[in-house]
Amino acid sequence: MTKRYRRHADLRLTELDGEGLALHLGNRKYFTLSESGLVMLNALDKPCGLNELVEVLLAEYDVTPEKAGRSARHFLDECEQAGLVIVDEQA
Amino acid sequence: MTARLPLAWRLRAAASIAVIPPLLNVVSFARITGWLSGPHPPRRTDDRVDDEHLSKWVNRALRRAPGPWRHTCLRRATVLYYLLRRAGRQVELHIGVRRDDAGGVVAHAWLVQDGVPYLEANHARLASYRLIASLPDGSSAGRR
Repeated sequence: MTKRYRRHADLRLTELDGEGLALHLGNRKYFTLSESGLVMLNALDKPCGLNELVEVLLAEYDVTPEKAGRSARHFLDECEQAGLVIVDEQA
Repeated sequence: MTARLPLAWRLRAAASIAVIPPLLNVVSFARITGWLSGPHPPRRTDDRVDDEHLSKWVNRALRRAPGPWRHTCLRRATVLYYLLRRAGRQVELHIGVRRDDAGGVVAHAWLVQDGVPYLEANHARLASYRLIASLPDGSSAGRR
């Protein structure tokens, strides 16, 4: 089963003093993001699977695929729990 | 002679204050943006209402209101956004963020018309805010 994720429609993003910031218009909560977190949430404006997010990280940073995979997986889990991303479809 | 807000507009403003602030507490802001924004662009201009006067009326009412209706920048901006759009004004609602001295995030909501802050007491401080969201959706730089 492959999950595809996308950013919650109520989320708005910006950069602030070198950090990413996400505002959830639904619950009006703010979330601070790392640079890579902001990169991933930007990519999630359309449905993405884990592998696609890993590709995004590999294109942006000099990291191994294994590390990119762990980072992306951890980030998606945290974002899903916080309601920042939703599962768009499963195949 | 001090201009008064027409009765119809006072009633409309009172109803907006009664409904919008508690609605913001229970319904996602993003879900009511379409209703708040009204027709885009606004249909026709109502010249019976003076915007400054309306703003002062809303400010006073919110400052006297209890708990869930008490004045905040978001409640004020949202109520005025709704009312002014109904009056045919092409206003936008902006939400911006900045860091405070302790490194925390501070947000502010304000109105903009023709690219300039509108009915806002202190324009200068808005320069320190980074825009994160705007209504109507997609009207300005806040990324979705």
